Amino acid sequence: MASNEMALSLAFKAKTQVWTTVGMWAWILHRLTGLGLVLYIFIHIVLMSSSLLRGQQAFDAMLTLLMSHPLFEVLDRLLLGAVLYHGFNGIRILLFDLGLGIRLRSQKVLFWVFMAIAAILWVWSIAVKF
Amino acid sequence: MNAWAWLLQRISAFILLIVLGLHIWYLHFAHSGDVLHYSEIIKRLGAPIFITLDILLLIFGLYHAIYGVYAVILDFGFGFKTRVVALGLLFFAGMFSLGLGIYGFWVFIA
Repeated sequence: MASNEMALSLAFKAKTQVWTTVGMWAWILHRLTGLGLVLYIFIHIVLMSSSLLRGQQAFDAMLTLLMSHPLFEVLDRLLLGAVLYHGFNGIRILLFDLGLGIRLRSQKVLFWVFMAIAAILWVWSIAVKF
Repeated sequence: MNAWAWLLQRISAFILLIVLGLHIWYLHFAHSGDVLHYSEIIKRLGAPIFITLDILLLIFGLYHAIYGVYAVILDFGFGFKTRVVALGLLFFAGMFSLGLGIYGFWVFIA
């Protein structure tokens, strides 16, 4: 009995606590994109609010710089990618909380399905917008 | 953090999926030009539905961001004192951003 429990425990550990699992990387990337988006949201609020309050010229100058400079265009694409990843992986997490798709195989399938949708939306948005 | 804070994190995530999606769509894909202009923003902020969406985005976005960073801090297992200081700094940054954002909206509503 004890050896069975030990074997089950080791099997569980091997499948859930190692760096080769999809879930581990999904979790790490969710944290990293989240921290990046937090940094962005604070900068975004300060820049938009302060330039709006300084009037039309200041706001138009700020938006022209942010929306037409090549560096910010690249950053915009990365931002959109981070939003799509965090959003779609977030839907996956919300589904788990509701008890949907929590079996190991379902988790992986859901992850790749959502990542495929996110990737298609990302490529489409870049093609349309940039 | 208690269960209510966690639940509000999940509720804010669900609201953000809708509100942020609309925000990105309207500001970056639905308007005519490549660059947004002041006049378009003023026109948008004049509509109650858009100002409501933007205020919801501000409030729930900041809550989700602050609780999210706090959850990452919890993951690292820092001590009580570090957690309290971090939460205080996050709360201050959140209140400052919320105040600045609301003030920006209020100027245009007024």
